Amino acid sequence: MSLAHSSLAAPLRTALVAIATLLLFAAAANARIYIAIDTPGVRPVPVAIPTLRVTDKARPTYGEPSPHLIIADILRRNLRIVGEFELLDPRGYLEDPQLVPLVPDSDSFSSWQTAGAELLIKGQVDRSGLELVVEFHAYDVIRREFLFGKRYRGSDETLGSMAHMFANALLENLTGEKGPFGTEIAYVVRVGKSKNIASVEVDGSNPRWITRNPSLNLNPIWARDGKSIYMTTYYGGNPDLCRFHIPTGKLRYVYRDEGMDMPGQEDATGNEMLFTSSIDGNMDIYKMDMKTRKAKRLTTDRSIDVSPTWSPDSQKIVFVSDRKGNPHLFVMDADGGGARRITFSSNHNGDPAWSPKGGQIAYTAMDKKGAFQVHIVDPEGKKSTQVTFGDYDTHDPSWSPDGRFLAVTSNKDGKEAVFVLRLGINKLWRISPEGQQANQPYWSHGPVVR
Amino acid sequence: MQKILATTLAAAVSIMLITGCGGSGEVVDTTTPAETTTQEPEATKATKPVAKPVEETVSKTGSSEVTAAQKNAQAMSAAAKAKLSEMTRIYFEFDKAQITSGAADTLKQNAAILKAVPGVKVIIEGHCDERGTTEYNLALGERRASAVKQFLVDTGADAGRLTTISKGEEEPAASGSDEQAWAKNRRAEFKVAK
Repeated sequence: MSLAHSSLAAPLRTALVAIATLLLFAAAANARIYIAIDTPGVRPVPVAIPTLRVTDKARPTYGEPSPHLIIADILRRNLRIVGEFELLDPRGYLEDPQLVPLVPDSDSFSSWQTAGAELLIKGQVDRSGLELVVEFHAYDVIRREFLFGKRYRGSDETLGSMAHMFANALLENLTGEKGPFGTEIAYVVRVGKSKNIASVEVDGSNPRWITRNPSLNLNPIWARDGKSIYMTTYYGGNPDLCRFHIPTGKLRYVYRDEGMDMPGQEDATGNEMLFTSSIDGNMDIYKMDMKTRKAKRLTTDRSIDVSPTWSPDSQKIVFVSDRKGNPHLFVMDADGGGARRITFSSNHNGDPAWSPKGGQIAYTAMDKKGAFQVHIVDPEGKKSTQVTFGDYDTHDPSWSPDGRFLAVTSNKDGKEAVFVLRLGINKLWRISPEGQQANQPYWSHGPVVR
Repeated sequence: MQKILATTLAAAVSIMLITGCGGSGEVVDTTTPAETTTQEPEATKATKPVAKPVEETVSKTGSSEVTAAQKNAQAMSAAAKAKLSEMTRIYFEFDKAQITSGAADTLKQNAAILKAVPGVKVIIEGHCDERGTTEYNLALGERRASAVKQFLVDTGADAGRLTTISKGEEEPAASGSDEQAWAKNRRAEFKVAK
């Protein structure tokens, strides 16, 4: 069935895309399995993900990694944390994927139904020259219907990406909103007296170092290009704002002075970035033109003003200020005017993070027992909702690009670690490796470029 | 974005979309890099090896652009160092940078020590307890260090000999998550500049 698409004329390609789009919409409209995006976990869909079939050409020889096992495992780990699905234990699967065709027949559907599956993900790994070709099918077991399929071409190195893309496509198909897989979460790890920046995938896979130096490196914020991280580093003896470029391992100072400098985000265009500095005597919020490197001061209070975060349209900025006595959240215009307080209950609030969809601001507030909890408030400050509970501290929220998750810091298991919190079911999954003291997670905008 | 697209094209790796009804599993070739934006934005990402499990990031933060702290111009005697080490740390109330009356007495003694050892530069470190957010505490530590500096200058110390640095909640003096530990961690320390 494979078509050498490179030889197709452009009009034909366009036509094929149009047809595929129509078929895709038709398939989605027919699907009985549909999950409302804001009600995960109300009734998780039981899903079976058997090991992928492997063709003779792709079958690994003894001692080689087995892509068909690896990719199924990655996909399972991805879908496990989502909340929309109940992953059925592979030990309960009755059929051997290598002995049955890729497309299930009615006996096969019966077998999966007996196993309790309502959604079935099947797949096949093939090799074409140097390329690894991975195909996934999604089936509605109850209706015995093909829902949709995807084929990815890559290599053994891109198995993770292919699994992530399919997990995203599956979520998009069933909920209308694609998943966050393929992105990464940067965070801070204490090693002795130093703190360094590391990064980990959404489900806790592949933790790796970004910086390795003997200093304090704090406040990681991803640049929009996916190649760099802004941070505060004490490497030069003083806490300065720098940009660490991952592909080259180079660290460049963005803003240095004698006092404290902390990064904020780049705006939606990447032309301006927010930061905080004590250059004018106390911590204030500034906006820097990334081309001219000129900074404009946005707050002038004698109070502490920190943690500025853009709204998704870069029209507003939420930040923390103790101008009313205690640290509270305020929202101001992009030019620094019109600041309005939006938190009123707790007397210690911080870590604001504006949701990618715009309507919500996640933040941290100290409760009456002195524990820190994550809350979500609208940008007008009309209604605040607590989303974490417990005697332990949960703080530092950072949104996933799809708005489903928050990455947070919590000491629920003793020492501080980074978790992902699935909003709606409010379940925490630890993603920083066991044994690491980790905090300050910051979710990337897209895939990280190395 | 243009560059990414170009790279994508160069990679010449494609994603095909299979779709259909009633289990037919009809395969339709749909994807070329230029069209992926409308059809399958995420699919283009398969073309780049974003996941390289064996690749280690080379992190050379010790590049030449980053220089170590400048050495104190003044050479100092062991006696002077010993004298300066007598400068006592002071403590703060929760979420406050005000100098308490007890701390004020300590700072006056510290000011006298500074006067007795002329020329040597001193760093005032501001610290916080673990409560509060990282960024707010970095700001609070800065405010505490500045408050101490201002007090010493008001007492007659030479501002040029004093620098401040905030360590936020990053270098606690005492471990533990109770008021006893927190009280020891809300502090300002004095270090001889290297």
